[in-house]
Amino acid sequence: MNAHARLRGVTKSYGSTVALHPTDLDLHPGVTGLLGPNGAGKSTLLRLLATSLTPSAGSIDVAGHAVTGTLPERTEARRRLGYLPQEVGFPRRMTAFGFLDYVAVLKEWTDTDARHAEVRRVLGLVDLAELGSKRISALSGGQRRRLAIAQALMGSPILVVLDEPTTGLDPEQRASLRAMLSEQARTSAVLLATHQTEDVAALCDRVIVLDSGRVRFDGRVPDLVAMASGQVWVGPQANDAAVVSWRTGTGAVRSVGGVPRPGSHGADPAVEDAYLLMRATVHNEQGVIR
Amino acid sequence: MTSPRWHAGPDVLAAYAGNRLDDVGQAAVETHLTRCPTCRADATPLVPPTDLEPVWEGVAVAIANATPWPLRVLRRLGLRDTDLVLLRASSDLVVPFAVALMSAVTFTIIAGQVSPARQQLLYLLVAPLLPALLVAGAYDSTDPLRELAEATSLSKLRVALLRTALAAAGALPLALLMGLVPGIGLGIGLWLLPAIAVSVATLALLTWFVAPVTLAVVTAAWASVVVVLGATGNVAAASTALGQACFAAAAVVAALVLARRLGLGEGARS
Amino acid sequence: MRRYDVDDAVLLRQVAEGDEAALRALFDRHAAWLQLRLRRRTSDPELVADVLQDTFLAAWRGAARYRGEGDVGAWLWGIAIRRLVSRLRSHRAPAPVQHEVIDAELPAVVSAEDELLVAVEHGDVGSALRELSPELRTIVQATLIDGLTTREAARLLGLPQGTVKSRMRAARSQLRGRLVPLEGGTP
Repeated sequence: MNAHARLRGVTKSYGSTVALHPTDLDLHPGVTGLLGPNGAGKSTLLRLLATSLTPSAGSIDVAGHAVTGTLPERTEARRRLGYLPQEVGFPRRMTAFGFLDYVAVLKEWTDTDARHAEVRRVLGLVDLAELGSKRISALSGGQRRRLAIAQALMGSPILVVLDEPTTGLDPEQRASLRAMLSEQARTSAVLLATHQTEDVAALCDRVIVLDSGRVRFDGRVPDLVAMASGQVWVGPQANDAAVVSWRTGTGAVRSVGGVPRPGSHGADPAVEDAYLLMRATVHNEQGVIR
Repeated sequence: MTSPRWHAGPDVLAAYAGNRLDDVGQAAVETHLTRCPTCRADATPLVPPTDLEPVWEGVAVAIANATPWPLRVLRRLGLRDTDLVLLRASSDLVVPFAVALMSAVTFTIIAGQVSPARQQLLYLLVAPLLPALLVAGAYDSTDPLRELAEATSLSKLRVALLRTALAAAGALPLALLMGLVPGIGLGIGLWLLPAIAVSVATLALLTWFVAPVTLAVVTAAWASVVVVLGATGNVAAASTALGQACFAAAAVVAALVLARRLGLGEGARS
Repeated sequence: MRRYDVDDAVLLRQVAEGDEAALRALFDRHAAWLQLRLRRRTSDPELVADVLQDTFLAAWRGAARYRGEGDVGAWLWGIAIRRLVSRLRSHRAPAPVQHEVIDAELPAVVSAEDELLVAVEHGDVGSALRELSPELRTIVQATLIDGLTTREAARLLGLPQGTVKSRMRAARSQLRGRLVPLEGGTP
């Protein structure tokens, strides 16, 4: 099966700072999480895929069109992608409908009736159907984020790139986002960047862990979780020489790695455990785990 | 308003819907419906949802799609719907337009006080800068969306030119207003080509710098040109064929630079 | 129809504040019967759909003008019938709803006679109406039942205004003659 998007040897540097080291990646239909701390290079990678940045080296293909090639090829690629940037500065006086109408025009929807029908469709998808006439300045933060997600879903994008889509969403909204993305992911490759492990656990089938501009893990979520298997402990005190430990809401201490103290018992690993374990050990190795 | 004690009932309503009641029965049902929520609710199943959903969709689109009157006028004159949407997104032009208007008025007042030769110079300085101000304002007002817009497929050049056209149209009455100062006459030759050259150059620079910086650069550069012309006594030269040709050439160069910059597709401030 | 307990007048107030969901609720309550009634005035289904759409658009823009007199249903019908008249007159898609259409309010019920004539729920009044000739009955329908002014009725029916006025007078006197003996027995 041909990948919906493909990166080969892609790097991005600003002067002497390397934001992204040479990276190879294939994206297929499904929801893939891009996990990493702030400054890891997630936004850079997303912007490269969304064609708003050009790579310093390497090639990027979206739906078989070379983003790094000629302008016509890049335009073809753009016709097949949807992008949600981390910050969307909405024009304050526009209505929600007006904003989506504008983005639809930018995506070359020339037929007015078809365009309006599509705008109404995505408004319904993100549960903003009766807020189309509202000025954006009158919408809440969560509603604006849903609006921003809606514009990324217009048309039938082969690749949907979302930078921190869950910011400002409550658990209920996150749940309906999950449902919406799974539906979309049946035919599209959805890549969402987040620094919250709950998003990965809740929304993604696959996960890429990025740290300091390098891919540290690229595989299925259960495989990531399994890396912490047998190494998670909960008890009154932290493990000796724990790789990482913290006090949970219940007052107990959760530790990953190290030797457990008396009174501690093993616990099932979660994405967060595996992620923290990985981040802590990254400093000792240069390798990539696939 | 007391609620009616009599109700039509589903049978009578079905007969009404099926046009089987006589005039009087029809009148009876109709007057009753204007006042009875119960019978209105009973009447609802008599209309298929497929009749009403498209009507609601039309209403929802119409109430969300407010268009300011200047754009409605343009639509009547044949402006394409897609262009209208693009221009509507630049409707935060109000502030730059107000500033441009103030500049025009101030100019007119000052120009009334100075000698004719000076007036021409002043006009040459200010008039072409007004559209630049409007272009920068229009471009930058949608700047927060630029990252998002970058990822879309519609020709960026087309959008840029459309906004320039809107800005120029806004600037035209202002330039004419200023041209009314006696001694200048409506010196179109003095204004039009330089205005185009300066506007396109502004657009090109906007792909590198933010609006305030771009405006500062453009103003400084243009002011220098005008000062040089003035100092060497060559203001009149600006409206000769050679002078106009120079401005045209400058406009073409700026347009090529702009096209090249947009063709690269690089986000401006990355 | 998600807002079950809320009065129409309250919904209209919410619409005046820009609440699209309230407009939707009003639509769910009223669009069906308005459509049925419009269908009795013209056979063109597209025209009916256009008028219905215009009506709710006008309601959105003019909700603040509703003063709370009479039922919201009657207010909506007043807008709808005027839009129909306007469209039939111009035979082409008219400009978006102008505000003066909404300002022309449903004529307030003016006399005891009219009050009686409007209360056609009972057979006696109904049969009185039945005895009118079709021409007179049409006039009664247009003016009292649809609430049009004589000028608007004249436009709708394609008659000179004088004709409408004289027929209305004839209808009233006939109905008065039939109804006076019944006055004591009406609720």
